[in-house]
Formats: sequence, structure tokens, C-alpha cells
Amino acid sequence: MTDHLEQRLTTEFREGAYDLPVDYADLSAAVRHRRARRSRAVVGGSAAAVVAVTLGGIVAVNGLSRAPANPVPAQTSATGGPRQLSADTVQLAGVVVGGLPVGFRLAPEPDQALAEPPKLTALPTDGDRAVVVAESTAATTSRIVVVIGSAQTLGLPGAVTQEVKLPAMDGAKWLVTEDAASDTTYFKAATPTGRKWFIAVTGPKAADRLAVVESVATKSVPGS
Amino acid sequence: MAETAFDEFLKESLPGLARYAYVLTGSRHAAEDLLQDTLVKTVGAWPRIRQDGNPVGYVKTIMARTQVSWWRRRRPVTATLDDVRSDDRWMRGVEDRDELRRALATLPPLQRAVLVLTFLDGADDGEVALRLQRRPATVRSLRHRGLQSLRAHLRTAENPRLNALTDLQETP
Repeated sequence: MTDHLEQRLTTEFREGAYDLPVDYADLSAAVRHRRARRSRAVVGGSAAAVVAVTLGGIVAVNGLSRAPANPVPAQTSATGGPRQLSADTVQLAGVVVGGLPVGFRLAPEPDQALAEPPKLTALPTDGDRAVVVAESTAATTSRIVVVIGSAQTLGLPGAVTQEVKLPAMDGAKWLVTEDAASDTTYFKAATPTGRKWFIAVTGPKAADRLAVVESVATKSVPGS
Repeated sequence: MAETAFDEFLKESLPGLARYAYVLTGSRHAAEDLLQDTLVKTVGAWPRIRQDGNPVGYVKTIMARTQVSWWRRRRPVTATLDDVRSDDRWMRGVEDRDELRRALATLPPLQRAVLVLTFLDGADDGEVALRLQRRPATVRSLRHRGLQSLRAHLRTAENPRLNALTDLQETP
């Protein structure tokens, strides 16, 4: 039955049931939306650069460059401070950071919020930073830190998380680690346009933290 | 103006491009994803693509390259066989296609892409190499390994069926 495999492949590919109904209007709108986000990000953000960090490199440096536990203020800010746009959205470095959980707000005193235990064991000291905290102590996660545009090659603490549900991410390279010592899930990504993302979500349960990371990354990183 | 031309192109070419994405990925969900990723790239390069004179070919090339890109390949493989009806399984032809699709689903994206470009598009080694940004020798090797892998899977799938047929024939 495999003697005519090449002929079978030709038939399968050319005549097989691969028709895929796609709604033109939905697709066109989605494409334009993503394109517009990408364009805005390029205009508002730092200059595009070729990404030189590979995932292997990221993993290799994991643990080698733990940042100090004490919070360090961001050294540079390209576009001023972060701004709350809506309940689940903030603007940072000209980029819309979405997918934040309900009941979170920008911390009025970011450094103070970062000093609250458990302290992060990795945190870029440059780039644009937003610290978002839960308004209620009943929230499943307590603190979300987002840094965009860091130029540092930062190793993420903890173990690499394998089961992460993220879409294509527009070709962005990403890594998620779970650090039990700081009750924090770390995410970092580099987009094809050269933008670097760092997200740290702190909370008691790893599953809740990961869900927040997935939500924020999915809504924010693609097209940025 | 460019957007209007792109819209017209998309309306006209969407069924073919969607099908191409499905053949390349073997999964509806992944195909939709790939199609959208490809079109986002296409919009940005549209003026250049129009000048090229073969926008469909250009977009298909972008799609194939996107599919085999290193970062996309790292993503977990999703379900691949989602439209074979169970009541058709009695029909030998459908069962053969089912087995072939299952075997195809086991191939790495790059091997599958080489087979698609070869057997769907009828592209020769040089053209496949150009479109996937690989060397012709690499293309030959990938196709050889892909076909070998398919044959192995189909042989494995065929044996239980032959055994079942033998059992039926021997049943009084």
C-alpha cells in the first residue's frame, strides 16, 4: 500500500478535504488590528534591533544573574510613567499592556510595592516599568511587574515552565519560569521588532500566577 | 489605495490561501493561526509584493517560511486529524486517507513543508530550497526522510488491519 506513496501524497494534498472556511471580514479585521498594534509599537517604542538572545542562552544564564532582592528603581524611561487606561489595561512605553486581572491598579508607590515581601529575585533595572497591585487581599495574585525595553540580559530564577498556553505571539521568543522561593512566575520575551518584555507575577498559587502571565502576555506581547 | 488592493487580493485569494495553510499544518486551528500571522506580514510588505507580480506565490512562500520558522516549530503540536468522520471509516479509501493524515501529522513541520511544496506545488528541489531558504541537498534529504517516515508509519498502521482481515476470513 505504500508503493505509490508519492502519488497518494499528490492526491491527498491536491484533492483532500483541506478546505478551511474563514470569514473574510473577521480575518481582515484581525489582521489590520494586529498590524496597527505593531506599527504603533514601532513608532512609540524603542528602535527595532536584531534580537541576539536565544532561548538556550536565556536558559543557560538562568540562575547566573540573579538580581538583588532589594528593589532597584528603573534607570531610564522612554515615554514617562505608566498610565492606567482601563480596569484591565495600562499604557507603558507607548504600548498597551492588557489582560490584567480585575481589581488591580497601578501602584502609587512602585518602589514601596516592590519592597513588599516576597521580594523578586530578578528584576531589570532599566527600561520602562509598571507595578500593578491587587486592591483586595482576597485576590489570587498580589503583584504584577511589567518591564518593557530593558537592555539587560537577565536570567530568570526558578525552573522552566513547560506547560504554558500561549498563541503564536507574532514570532516573539519567550520563556516562563516558576520560582517557588519568591512565589513568583517570571516571563520574558523578545519580539521580532526588538522589544523586550519582562513580567513577574507574584501570588501564593503557581497556577493562578501562570494564568495571569498567559493573559497579560497574550494580550500584550504579540504585535508589540 | 494599497489597502484596497490588498482587500481585493485577500477576498479573491482567501479560499486558496486558507487551504494552503491547512495543508501545511494539518490542523484547522494551526492553519487559522498561520494564515493570520502570514497576512500580518503580508500587509506590511504589500507594495513590494504587488510589484513582484505574483502575490499569491509570494504569500505562500511567506506562509511556508513562517510555518517552518524556528520559533513556530518550538510550539507544541496540536491536534491534527479533525475532520475524518467515523462512519466513513468502513470505506477503504477514507481509511487510507485517515492513515496517511495520521502519518503526516507525525512529521516535523519542515519535512511536511518540503512534501507539500513538492507534491502540491510541483516545485523542484531548487525552487523548494529557495522558498524555504534551505540548500537543495537539504531539501532532498528532508524529503527522503519524510517519505521514509511516512512509509514506516503506514506499514505499522497496515499490519493490524491485515491481521483483522485475516481473522475475519478465518471466522466460520
